[in-house]
Amino acid sequence: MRNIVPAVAAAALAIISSPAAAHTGTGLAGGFASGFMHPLSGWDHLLAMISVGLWGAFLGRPLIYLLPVTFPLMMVVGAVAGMFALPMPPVEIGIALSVLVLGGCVAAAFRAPVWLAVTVVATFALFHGYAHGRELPSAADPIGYSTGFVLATGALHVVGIVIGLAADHRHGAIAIRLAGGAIAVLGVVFLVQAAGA
Amino acid sequence: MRDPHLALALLGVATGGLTVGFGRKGGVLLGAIALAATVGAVLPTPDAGTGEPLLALAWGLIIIAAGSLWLPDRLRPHALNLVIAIVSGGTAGLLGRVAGVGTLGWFAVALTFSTVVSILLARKRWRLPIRVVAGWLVAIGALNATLTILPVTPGYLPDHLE
Repeated sequence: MRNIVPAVAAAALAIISSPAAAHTGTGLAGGFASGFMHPLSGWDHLLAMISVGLWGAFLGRPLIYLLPVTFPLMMVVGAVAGMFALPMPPVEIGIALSVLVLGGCVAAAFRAPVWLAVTVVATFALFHGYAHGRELPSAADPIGYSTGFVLATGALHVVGIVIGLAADHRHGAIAIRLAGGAIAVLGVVFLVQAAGA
Repeated sequence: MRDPHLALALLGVATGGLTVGFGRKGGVLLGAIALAATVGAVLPTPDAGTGEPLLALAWGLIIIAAGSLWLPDRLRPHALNLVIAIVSGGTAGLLGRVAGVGTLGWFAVALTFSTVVSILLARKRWRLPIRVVAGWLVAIGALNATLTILPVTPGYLPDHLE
């Protein structure tokens, strides 16, 4: 297994590295690295996706692995809707609500049934996907960009799950619920900003 | 044709890491992929216009290969894996023929690497994380397959230097 680590690192570097190109500064921004960084560059996306992982870890099997699959899949549905500019309720409000509700679920230690948790996550994923989908065709390399943002989304879920597994440790559950509460409060801030925009 | 490198690499990951790594008779599947890819690569050069449909087929195959990992084992017979292996190998070979045989290296490296990794993970019974990654591959495949049917995206319009 130790021998695999350098190979994985080399493969990862090969994927994220950009080809050398003349005339930098022309054309449109985009590519795998740009798509990968996109969900990491906005607190609303980042906190919602980490909350999905946190909630999944708290809810346990099967949601610990169903939620991190449901979100990217439904995000793609939303992205396709965005690419074709299909009508959608106000997206920024939906994204802000996702931070508020998902953070709130973690804070309240809400043990939702499988169908409800999947429905909640799938619905909010549509809004996040729609926002990405509106931006996607403008990227210089939409294929690289879309691959990057789906993988970054998955990676953020995994980060949330890893943090969420700390709930098994002493005081871990309280810390995670407090973190969920903080996320929900930020969700209120995002909601106020989105409503005022 | 749009850049096929990522499609070829992810097709290699989906076929090797998921179909071969988690299927029975992995050696047979690898042989079928290699044979089909070779046949595809040595066929007379397809029309340049076949590049985009081949790319769409590659994304579709990624969805099928990754999605099939979520099927129960009894609904995932060896024959299905064999068909996926042959069609994936053939598609990669044809794409390589259109885009330049050098691009097949992406498929071959991804296939080999992901097969080894998935066999190691399967031995450790880490099937669930692999299934989650398979779900992400389905999402990526669906998104990029849709991009191939969008009539035009600003990102693919030539800029003033082209």
